[in-house]
Amino acid sequence: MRTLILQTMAEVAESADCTLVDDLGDATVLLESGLDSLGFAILVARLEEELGRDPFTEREEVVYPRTLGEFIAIYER
Amino acid sequence: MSGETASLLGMIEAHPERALIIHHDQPFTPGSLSRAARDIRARHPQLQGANVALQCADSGDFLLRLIALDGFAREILLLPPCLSGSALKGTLSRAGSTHLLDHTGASAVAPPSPAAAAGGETLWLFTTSGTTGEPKVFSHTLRSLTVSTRAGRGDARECRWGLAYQPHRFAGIQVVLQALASGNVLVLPPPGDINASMEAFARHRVNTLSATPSQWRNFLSHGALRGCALEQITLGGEIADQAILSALARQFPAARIVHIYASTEAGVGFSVADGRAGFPVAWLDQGPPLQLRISAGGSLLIRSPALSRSEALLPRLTADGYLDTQDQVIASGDRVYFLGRASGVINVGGNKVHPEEVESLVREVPGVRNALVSGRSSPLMGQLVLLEVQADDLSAAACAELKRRIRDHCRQHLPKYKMPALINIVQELAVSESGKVERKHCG
Repeated sequence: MRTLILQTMAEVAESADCTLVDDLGDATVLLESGLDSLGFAILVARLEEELGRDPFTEREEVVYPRTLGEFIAIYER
Repeated sequence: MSGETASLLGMIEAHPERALIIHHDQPFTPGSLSRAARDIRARHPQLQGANVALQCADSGDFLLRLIALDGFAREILLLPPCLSGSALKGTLSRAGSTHLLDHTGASAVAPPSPAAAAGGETLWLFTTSGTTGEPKVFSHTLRSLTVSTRAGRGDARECRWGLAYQPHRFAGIQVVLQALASGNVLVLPPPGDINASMEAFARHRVNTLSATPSQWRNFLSHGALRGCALEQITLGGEIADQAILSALARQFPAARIVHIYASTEAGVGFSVADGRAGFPVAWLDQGPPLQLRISAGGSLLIRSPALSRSEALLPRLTADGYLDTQDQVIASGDRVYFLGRASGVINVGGNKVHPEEVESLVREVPGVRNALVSGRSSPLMGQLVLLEVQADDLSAAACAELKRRIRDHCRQHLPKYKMPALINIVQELAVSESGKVERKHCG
């Protein structure tokens, strides 16, 4: 899952004209990862196509992951 | 116009005895059409002065009955062959139809309205498929229809028309009337797929063909048109982009290529014949008969004596009599380009994206057969731009390469929010019965 997310992130960054920070890790704050809000919307949409689910809309409570680690954890649940 | 010449039957009878319509490889002369139409009138006297809904799967059956009904019935409702069940019932009742005529005969569907007065021109009621919900109905007469069909014509060459549209549609009727009014031959499509129609058109030496840009893209990609020596090519019903205009010019170097802008409901439009997308800026703010203006909101306004008198259009009229077409346009350099329907706009985080603008750009990429852009709902941005691309090679490597080319091309020409967020490559895009790519409206 982690690999898929990181790979998709790289693809989205490339197609959305963003540059990801070099030292991408669990502690990376999403807003500082290099993807902008449009980039994240695209990332979530592409992951949904890949996985058939969007964990952000299928849950009752609204989750706003702050770091990349939290973001990945939501998909791994 | 007066007497019988004011009806479709009169128009046909005015022509000399030679093939006027070819259907199933059979020629029909004005005499044979007239006899068959008068026979239908004689067999259905109850349809005189009635409000008749007409529905036939076969285009020949449909046209013959249309010829019989114009100048005979009070109103003709031109129905798509696929309409059935409660949708059919609802449309009949909304249009106030009293009878339904199909290839098996006529049946009464409602008692005649006491207000129905005989005489006057027959009203032709068209249904638009509409983007959502139930079809809308708008009315014309043979007179109002031929005002717009004759505009801009006048060449004396021998036209042999093919009918690529269904005849119950406004676009189909335009082709039928242009052919019949001028006494030229009209070749009707046999039932079946595109290839069967194209073969019939080639066999009967069709040289004049009108279709939507999506149909033309299909004709080109199926290669079915190679046998046709086309002299006149018309594109209508959708925005004609530069890619399809140029592709047709390459395949048919001798043809005059015209794209039509028409507001179906309003019954007015104009044609552009210089081979370039859009129309000249110089056409704006000119005098009558056809006056064009761009509204403050960026939509095209039209004023013309030929405007339909439908009440439904009243809310869209400006104080000085211009109709808001609700088609968004933009002036750029010496051209005015169409961007699409105001209602088809995708909203990406508050930024508006016209699907047609992105589609037309994507079609410039080599390897792209056709493109369809729609909005895909996104919890983060409201909507995202979803692109579906029709391509021939669907192997993983080819798809990856095509996506890369599309993204590179879009990146050079579009702001970020207009870039396709998701790209799906498909073998075939659905083309609806009207010949247009089926535009989905999703949240």
